[in-house]
Amino acid sequence: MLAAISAVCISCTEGIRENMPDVQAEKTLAEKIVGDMSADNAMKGSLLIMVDEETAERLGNGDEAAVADILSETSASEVASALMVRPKNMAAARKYGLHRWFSVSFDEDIPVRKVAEQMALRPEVESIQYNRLQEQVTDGQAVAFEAVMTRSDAAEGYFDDPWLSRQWNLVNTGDKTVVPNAVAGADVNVKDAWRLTGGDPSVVVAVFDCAVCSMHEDLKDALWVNEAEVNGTLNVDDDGNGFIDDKYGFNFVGCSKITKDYVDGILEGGSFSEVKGNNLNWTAGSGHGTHVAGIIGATNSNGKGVSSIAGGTGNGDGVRLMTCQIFEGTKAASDAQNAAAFIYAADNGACIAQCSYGSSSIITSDDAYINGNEDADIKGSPFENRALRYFLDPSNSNHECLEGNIAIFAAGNHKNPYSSYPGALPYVISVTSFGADFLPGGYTNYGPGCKIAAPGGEYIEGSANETMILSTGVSNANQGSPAADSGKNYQFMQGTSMACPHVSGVVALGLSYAKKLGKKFTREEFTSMLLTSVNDIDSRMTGTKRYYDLGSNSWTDIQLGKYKGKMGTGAVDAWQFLMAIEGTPSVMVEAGSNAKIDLDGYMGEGVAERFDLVVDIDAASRKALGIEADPVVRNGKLEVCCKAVGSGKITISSSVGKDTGMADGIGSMAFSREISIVSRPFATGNGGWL
Amino acid sequence: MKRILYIIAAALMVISCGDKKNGGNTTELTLEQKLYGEWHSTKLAIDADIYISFMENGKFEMYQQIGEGAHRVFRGTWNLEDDLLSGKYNDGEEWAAAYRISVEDKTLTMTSANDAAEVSRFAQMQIPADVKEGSVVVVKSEEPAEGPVL
Repeated sequence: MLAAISAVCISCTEGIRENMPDVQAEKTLAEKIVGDMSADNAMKGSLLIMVDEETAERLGNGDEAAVADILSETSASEVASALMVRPKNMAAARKYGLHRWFSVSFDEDIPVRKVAEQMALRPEVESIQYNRLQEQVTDGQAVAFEAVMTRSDAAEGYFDDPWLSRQWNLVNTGDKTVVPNAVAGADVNVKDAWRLTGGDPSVVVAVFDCAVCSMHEDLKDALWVNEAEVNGTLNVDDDGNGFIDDKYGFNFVGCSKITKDYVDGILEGGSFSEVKGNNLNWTAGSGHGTHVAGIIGATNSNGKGVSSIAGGTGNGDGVRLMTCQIFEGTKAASDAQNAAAFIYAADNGACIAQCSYGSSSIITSDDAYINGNEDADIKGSPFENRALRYFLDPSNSNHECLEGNIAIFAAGNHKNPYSSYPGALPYVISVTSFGADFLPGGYTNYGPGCKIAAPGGEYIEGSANETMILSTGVSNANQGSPAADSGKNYQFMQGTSMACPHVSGVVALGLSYAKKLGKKFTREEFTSMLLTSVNDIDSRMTGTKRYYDLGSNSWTDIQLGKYKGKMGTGAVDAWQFLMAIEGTPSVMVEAGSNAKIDLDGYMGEGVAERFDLVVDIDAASRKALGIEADPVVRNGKLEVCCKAVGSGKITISSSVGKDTGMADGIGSMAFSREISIVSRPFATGNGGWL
Repeated sequence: MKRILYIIAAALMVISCGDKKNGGNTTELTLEQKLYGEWHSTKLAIDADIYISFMENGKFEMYQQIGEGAHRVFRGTWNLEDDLLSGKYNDGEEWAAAYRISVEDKTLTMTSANDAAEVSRFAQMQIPADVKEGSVVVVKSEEPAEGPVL
């Protein structure tokens, strides 16, 4: 019987290379370190390492000699798989090298960097990563909403939720009596989309945040429910997924790693122990996760509280919210725990990862983040990024209408001219924030890495709180709400943390509609439609705006020009997105004349004027349409001359998020749209057949 | 005797009805009257699905699906002079062409006045409710699309 390796404690103080020159250790560490180079925010007493295949196999088989070898001449006392549970999809786990990652433990008094340098000298250790703690994208401010419902509040909504009229982020009519800085249309344009769908329970959104309050009156019917655990036995892993009592998700903060039974030979065939974590704890902290969840899926038309983007139509048909708790009060999950959350989300049915967190460190290139060529080879990539890739992998698709899953991150609230990571990565969505005035929130990050903008609100000193985002909340001393633990709490918050779930909600709504239509898309197709279903925001980027900085409690004038072309492709638009999912109608042009096709309907308002668009037409379409001169884009219009009567397709491609100032900086996300053209002997300008 | 008179009267009524059915002068429909109603495309020069309603008040409503997506709604007015049908959309744009039309056996034939090779045919058919309810208005001057109020 193979021994359990992770519990093995090796006395190795004698062998520690106390006299190793620091310069050599530092150099070696610099070659092997991945992820955030700073140990400032690293978990004490813990380090993540990636070993070579042979060592991984030996460790996986419980080879005590391998354990002894890897711990020798280091201050570490224990080594165990960095995976908390056995992933369901081992092929994908191996594809991303997750099986080669191990966590080493040591006395918390020993500097993390010192152990990292020691580990770097081990030849079998290929990569080293500080087990950093996650950072929530929030200013910690939450303002309780305690208004008394009036008749007008209840009457104006599309649903009968009393506070919908206060939710400018959903329906902004420009009514300044409700929101003093309101500009009509500065919202997610969802009211017409609700005529088509309000959501679908098959769409599960994993909320990576504080816990979502499961007793909240407006959320309790919108939760993802693990029926086996709800109907099971306390302290028992009733569904055998490796997590005990994960009724609505799991609390990854502080949960323990596997401490035994890692004996299955590189994770094949054996069993993992159950992971014991804390129960979901939504009362710790500001209620950030509950607020985020309410934007996506608070139950619509239940006569209570707020409306949400994908909370259904009052018939139990909203999307479902899964908690992946990575924050608990002032405590945060480590990279390893966060990675476990991504694996959990993938293995338990989530198709959208809603991630209002990110690193505040100055990371301005994909290389600096992943320290490797992610597209060609994930060698060198940090552990949690591999887990993120596992979540995104097409083999882990969790919705019948999508090949792969989608992760959406907040761009960050640091006013930086680039997105925070992981959101800046080229395969995830990073969301910037605008206010009810359709101008950037003064706190929002912008620039390279940012993919799309959404309402995040902005506090205005001396004004009503309605300029922020109203959603579900929890009660604690931080808010000073009298509605403690009532499950009826609502609050205002601002930030890219709030913008992010708007996009998650729109994506969830889109998947719901795709299901209704019986359509299926790849992730790239789906994100292309999302990024081109936007409203113009750039045309407003002139002059200055006054911004009240909650950090310094002072007003600042900010130049709007710096945001132009840097908020992503534009402001997310739910209606346009559903129309794109439904299918884009052909455009009719008159044969023999030079047609100018407005690209707003295909690439989003304003997008066509902001990005370098590449026009592509295949030989068959070129022949069918009789196109001789290459089509071009000028002033947002596709100019094409079809000399033959026929039909064909033209593809317009672009990208967003590229750091144009650095060749190897933050990468871009590509997107494209196909335009179907019908050439007739005659045609109208409005596309009518007659 | 009274009974015989009833029989004769009934027989005359049958004859009278028969005359109408056979196209007597008093019941002959004009081309314009034949055009009234709802039509569904059966033959088009392009790959499309089109419903048109020509209303007696001179307005039309067209639900067209060309390529993917929901039917798009276009509304406007129509005019018939002899057999030449022309019209204008509500956004002010004239139809791309006028059409020579004929209606025979519940089939509407529209031949483009610009290009005689483009001949389209429609059959009388009520526009399905799901087409109407799922349609999208694209002419900017139009009212919002009809749909369920949630």
